[in-house]
Order: sequence, then structure tokens, then C-alpha cells
Amino acid sequence: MLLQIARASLWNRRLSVGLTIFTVAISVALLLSVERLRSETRQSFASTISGTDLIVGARTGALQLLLYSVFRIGDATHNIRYSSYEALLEGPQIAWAVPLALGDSHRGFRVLGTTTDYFEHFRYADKRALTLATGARFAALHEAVLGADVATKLGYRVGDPLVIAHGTGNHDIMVHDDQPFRIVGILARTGTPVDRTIHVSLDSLEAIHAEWKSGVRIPQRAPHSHDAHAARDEPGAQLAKPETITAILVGLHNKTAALTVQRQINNYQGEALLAILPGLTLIQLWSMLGVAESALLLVAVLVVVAGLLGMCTALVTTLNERRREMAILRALGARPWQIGALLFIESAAITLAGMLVGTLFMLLVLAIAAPWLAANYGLYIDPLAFKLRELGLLLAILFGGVVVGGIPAWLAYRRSLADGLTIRT
Amino acid sequence: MSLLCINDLRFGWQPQQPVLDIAHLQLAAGETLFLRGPSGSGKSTLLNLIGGVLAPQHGSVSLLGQPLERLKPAQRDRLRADHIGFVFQQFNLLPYLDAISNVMLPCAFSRRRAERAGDAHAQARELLQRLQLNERSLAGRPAAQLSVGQQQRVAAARALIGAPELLIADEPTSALDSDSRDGFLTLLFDECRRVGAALLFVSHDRSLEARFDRVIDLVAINRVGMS
Repeated sequence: MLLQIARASLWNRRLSVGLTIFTVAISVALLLSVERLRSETRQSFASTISGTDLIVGARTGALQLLLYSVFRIGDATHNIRYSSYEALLEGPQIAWAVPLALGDSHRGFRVLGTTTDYFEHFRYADKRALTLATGARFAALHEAVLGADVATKLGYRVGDPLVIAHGTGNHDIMVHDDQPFRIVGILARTGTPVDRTIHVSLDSLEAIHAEWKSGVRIPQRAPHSHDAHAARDEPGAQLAKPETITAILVGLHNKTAALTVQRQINNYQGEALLAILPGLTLIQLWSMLGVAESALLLVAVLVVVAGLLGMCTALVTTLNERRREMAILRALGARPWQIGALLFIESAAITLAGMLVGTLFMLLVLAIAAPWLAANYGLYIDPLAFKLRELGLLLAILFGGVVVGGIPAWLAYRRSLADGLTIRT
Repeated sequence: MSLLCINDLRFGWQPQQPVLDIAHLQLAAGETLFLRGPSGSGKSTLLNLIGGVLAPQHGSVSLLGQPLERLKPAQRDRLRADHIGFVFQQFNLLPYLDAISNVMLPCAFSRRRAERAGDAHAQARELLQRLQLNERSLAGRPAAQLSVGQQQRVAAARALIGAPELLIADEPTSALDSDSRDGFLTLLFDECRRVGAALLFVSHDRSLEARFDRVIDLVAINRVGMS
């Protein structure tokens, strides 16, 4: 019966109750969204690279090297010599090494020059290898393999032409339009920056930059003829080795030697190199981001607290108006605790409704934002993939609602004891 | 055995400042008693004591032979729910429940009255019909949308459901015009008689006194007022 009375009472005040539920819902949605973004970002970052024991680049900050080589965020301040890569390959501990050359782009997507070893050795998430959704790997010059997002967003298919621009950015100003590429393959989605990358061979990059120096085309060096290009496009065509590359992904025969090899690379006499352990650097990255992450979560928690206190205020302010109702219930034999329980049920119902609406609101927002987050930040969010921690947060909100709802319940209990059967206006 | 027996009752909100000091008051089963008294004479306090919401500080209040002062608050609440029906001056009903739900409320707090009512919904409809309310025309309408006269009759039906032994009416006719008042009282008396309930009727309106078995002036029996 108390449930029926509570339901009817809430419905009777549906406008104010609705607004209270909306307030709680907004705060719940904010908290859940922040938590989902936080966990998904962390998971996405953590699954970006796996199976690579070392990343080698020019001597700079470890985080910077990780960000530009793996996440395609920012640019390298310096490149490293290709000869250093060749020297590295000679090391007895080195199982494989894949060169990475970054610096060009196509309509906002980064172009990565590498070798076919990249497709063999690069691993993401739980040591998952890259697979082709359609087409094949590049085998000749001027062939490109697209990440899934590039193909989807730009509507490219295998066989389509593609022109690379010099430098990075969203606007292709200086383009290598004299040497267009042809798309030969599209990778399956990985949920990593690979999806937003255009992969070409190192030789191709060298070919299109043969007539460039310091970012500018040098006309006198240009033996511009389609015949020349055609000759270079033949499989097996010989080109000069690249002078520089951006970074190297390294796999070791024995992973326990990682620290030793790292030290050796860092002490390399040929040039100033930096080797980092990707896992360790990711932890450093998170410890840096952790403060902002915690601050964001704290703000979201405080918004929830404010929402629940708003509910408490709304219920407490109705108590005076409802003294008559309580006196009637007392006259009918309701015990003071039952009067308190009525208020308790109402606050629990408001909290539960707020949680439900807030969760639905969060799902809606994430469903709308997911494609944009994926396209712009490479953050793949499955709105329906609930995590245990989110359920824990929901339980904590329910507990908070119950505790806060205890205040009007206690007041109602006390007042019903004091008022008795005297109906007050 | 009397239904209600008050002996040497004293009660005050402040120590040494009693508001009620009644030597003796008795109500027999099925009797109708008119209790009059001006505002501030302690009527509400007396009703709270009879209803078991307050406990006497001295003396005794017995309902159906059970001295309320010896019972725990929960037992007094149970006794009130089982044996007393209340009708107040106005705003008697939970405004957001419809007539039938309001009438059935006592059965939610008293198993005894629920058992006596049997099919509570059917008895609620029957009571409303007896009190000349068309249940169909009231169906689904929250109590707040009923006229004052309709609300009082719904309140009377609620007080009578499950046949309590005592019906306490606290100035139930003061908000009604004379025609509605007379009609309401006739119905109330008929129903009390039918279910065998005693009626303790509190009012200022002395023109109603003739209808009752007995009339008591609270000022006359309250020794606090005499001193």
C-alpha cells in the first residue's frame, strides 16, 4: 500500500518530480559519460600497440616519441638516419625492426612510409595482427594500403587514386600530384590510429620526395616524365635508400633483454637515439593524464552530489505541505516509521528513475558522439559495453540517493510523531 | 463493559502546566456522544490521547478494556488502526488518491479491519453507495476534484470500513451548508448504527446536540479550565 501511495503522491507532483528526476539524470549521465570516456580512452591507448619491445627515435622525450610514432599525435623534432636502422638490424638480440617514416598526409590523415614487415610484426590489443579487409599489401611503388577509417570517411575503394600532400594538417597545400598513388588494400578495423593511417612503402615516399628538399620541390632535379615514373613503378625497381626515417619499431628474441638493448641503443655512438619501452611509457602517460582524469571524475561526482541534494531539497520543501497527509495516515494507523518509509520510497524511486533516465541519456549521447569520436580521435566507444565499474558507480549513486533520501524520511518521521492526529494547515 | 473509559486523566505539554485534567469520561458501545468545547479547550489533545498517539502522563485511558498508557506506541497505533475510524473537519482525504482508494486505506494498516471488510473494494463501493455517492461517477477522479460534501462522505465511508468500534468525528460538518450537514449527519448516524459503532462527535454547533444520546461540555469536565 505504501508503494501505491508513494506512486500516486509522486504522480500528483509530477512536474516538480520530473524536474528533480531530470536533474539527477543529467548528473548521472555526466558521471557515466566521463567514466566511459576515461576507461575507453585508457583501453584504447593501452591496446594501440602490443608485441613491440622497443620504439627507437631521435633523442627527445619518451612521451613525445610514443605519441608521434604510435599515436600519430604531433611531429618528430628530428629524424634518425636510415643507417642507424641498418646498424640496429645487425644486433644479435634484434628479432625484427620496422622503420617508420612520417611527415606527409592526405586530407588530414597521416601517411606512414614503412616496409611490408610492418604488416608482419605490428601487433595491437591482445597481440592481434593487422588483417586486410580487402585487396592486398603494397608491393610496388605508388601503392597505398588504407586504414579502415580513411576508406570509410573518404569513401575510397581499392583501385582509386590518391595524392599525398607534403607535410601534415587538414589542408593539402603542397601536393605530390605528379606522382599519384593507387589504393591496393584496405585494412580491417583495429580501433587504433592504424585505422586513420595511409600506409605506403618507404621506397614510395623516397620516390615522391626525390625532387624535394626541405619541403620544397626543386625543379632542376626533376627528370619529369611519365616514362620515368612508370619505370620506377615496376616491381623490383631500384631506388636510392632513404636518408632518414622517423622511428623504428623493434622486436627482440628475448624480451628480458629489453633493458639491456635499450641501454645499448641509448648509448649508440652513431647518432643520438632514444629507445623506449612502450608499456612503461604508456604508464608514464597515464600517470600524467591521471590528475586531469581524477579532476574530471571529481567534478562529475560533485555534480551527482548536487543532483541528489537537489532531490533532498525538493522533498524537504514539500514536507510542510504534506503534514496534513501525514496526519491523515497517522489517524488511519500508520506508524511513524511508515510515514518515514513513504518519503524514503519516494526518494529511492526518484533516484532510480534518475539513474535509468541518466543511463539512457548517456547511451544516447555516446551513440551520437561515437562516430565523431572515432573519426576525430580514433576513440572507439561501444555505448552498450557496460563495465563493472560503471555498475559500481550506479550502485554508489543509489546508495547516495538512499542516504540523502534518509533526511526527508527522518524529518517526516519526527514531524509525524510531533503532529500526531492534528491536521495543520 | 464500556467502550472508552477515561479516569483521572492529566496531560500537559509543559511540566506543571496541564491542559487536560478529566476525572471521568465514559462512552458505551454504540453510544453517540456530542463533545463541545471552544478552541484551545484541549479537544485535539483529548482526541490524540483517545487515539493513542499521546500517552497519558497520569490516570488512564482504556479502549475496549485495554489501558493505552500500558501499551507501547506500536501497540497503540495498532489499536487505533483496528478499532477507531476518524473523520476530520475538512481535507480529510489524500488528495491524489481516488475515492475508492481513500476508502480502502484503513485496510492497508489494519489486518483486522481488512478481514472484517472481506472484499475491501466491494465494501468500499457499498459504503459509498450507502452514503449516496455514485462510485462510477467518482472513478478515477482524485479526491481533490470532489466537492467538500462528497469528500466528507468519502471520509465517513473510510472511517466506517472494516466496522471499527469507535468513530471519532472532529468538527466534520463545519465546512458544510445546513442542508448538506443534515443529510451528512443522517447518513453518518445510520451507518454507525448499522455497523454498531459508537460515535464521538466534536463540534461547536450546539444545534446538533439534540441528535445525540449524550452531550458533554469539555470545559465543564476539564478541571484545568475550572481553576
